[in-house]
Amino acid sequence: MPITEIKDQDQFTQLTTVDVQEKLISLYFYTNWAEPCKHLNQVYQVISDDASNKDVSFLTINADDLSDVAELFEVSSVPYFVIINNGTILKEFSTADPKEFVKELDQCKKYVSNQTNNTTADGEQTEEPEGETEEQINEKLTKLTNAAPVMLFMKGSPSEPKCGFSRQLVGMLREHQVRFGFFDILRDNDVREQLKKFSDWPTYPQLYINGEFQGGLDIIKESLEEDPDFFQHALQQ
Amino acid sequence: MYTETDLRQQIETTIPNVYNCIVTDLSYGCGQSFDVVVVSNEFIGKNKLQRSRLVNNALREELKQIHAFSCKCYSEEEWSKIVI
Repeated sequence: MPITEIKDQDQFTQLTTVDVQEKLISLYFYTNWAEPCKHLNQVYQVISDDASNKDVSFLTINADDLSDVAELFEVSSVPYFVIINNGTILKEFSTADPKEFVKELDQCKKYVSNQTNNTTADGEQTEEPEGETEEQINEKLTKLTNAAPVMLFMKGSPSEPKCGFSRQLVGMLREHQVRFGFFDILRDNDVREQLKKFSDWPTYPQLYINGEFQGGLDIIKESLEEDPDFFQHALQQ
Repeated sequence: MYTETDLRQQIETTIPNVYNCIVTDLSYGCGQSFDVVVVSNEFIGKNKLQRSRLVNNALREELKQIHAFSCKCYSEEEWSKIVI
């Protein structure tokens, strides 16, 4: 699928919400002045032309011209990639290594094809979808919980939390200026049920730091009362 | 639908040495939102996660229906410092 260069915010919204359906979206933030971007511009083009990527929507965004969009994703350095599916950020990372981008993209493609296979295979989502062995589920959740150093599994999104507990935890992370990735469990019932087992924890939100389950709101709140630098210390461990 | 008494009995019969157990229904009647404090020396030597998991497991069935659940766990010594 050919690359689309985003010109303005409306076009961005159109292409990332209305026109995508179940498709995987790859966002590539670049600037004209960053040297590694020159090389990646070409590589990105080649990757997008690859037949295996025909179902992926490749977008490029000039982070200087469209600083609003770049800010939305907290792009702190370029080249910066964000991979989105169904309104959820699967991956966001900065790399100048095309191989790393391809690797991450492939992981996301696998994840998405698992999703669609599951929903088409038996119509309704069951607690343990057929076709996914326990090992695969564990592998998937290990990746997901490691997607960012701090990963929040919540109801809704940080800008629109769908539950008071999730909202409070987002507030705490922001108050302590912690950068975090998130996953909206309301958008994926499989992950929602599977992660409860994986974490051995029955409720959301759930916070992971460096791939390690930390707890829900109460535990994080108490940990912060005991140690105001709890997040930093947990990250350093 | 569960009441404060249901949850308290379930916790007291499942977790050993419960010294105090305070269950508060915050739901204004729908039985979906609870605040729980459990005091037991069973928690000594266990971290926050391990403590909460004891309570979560005690209320495994109940939690499936409860929408909002908050839980704090103390040993008798920790509790005495809080109460005073």
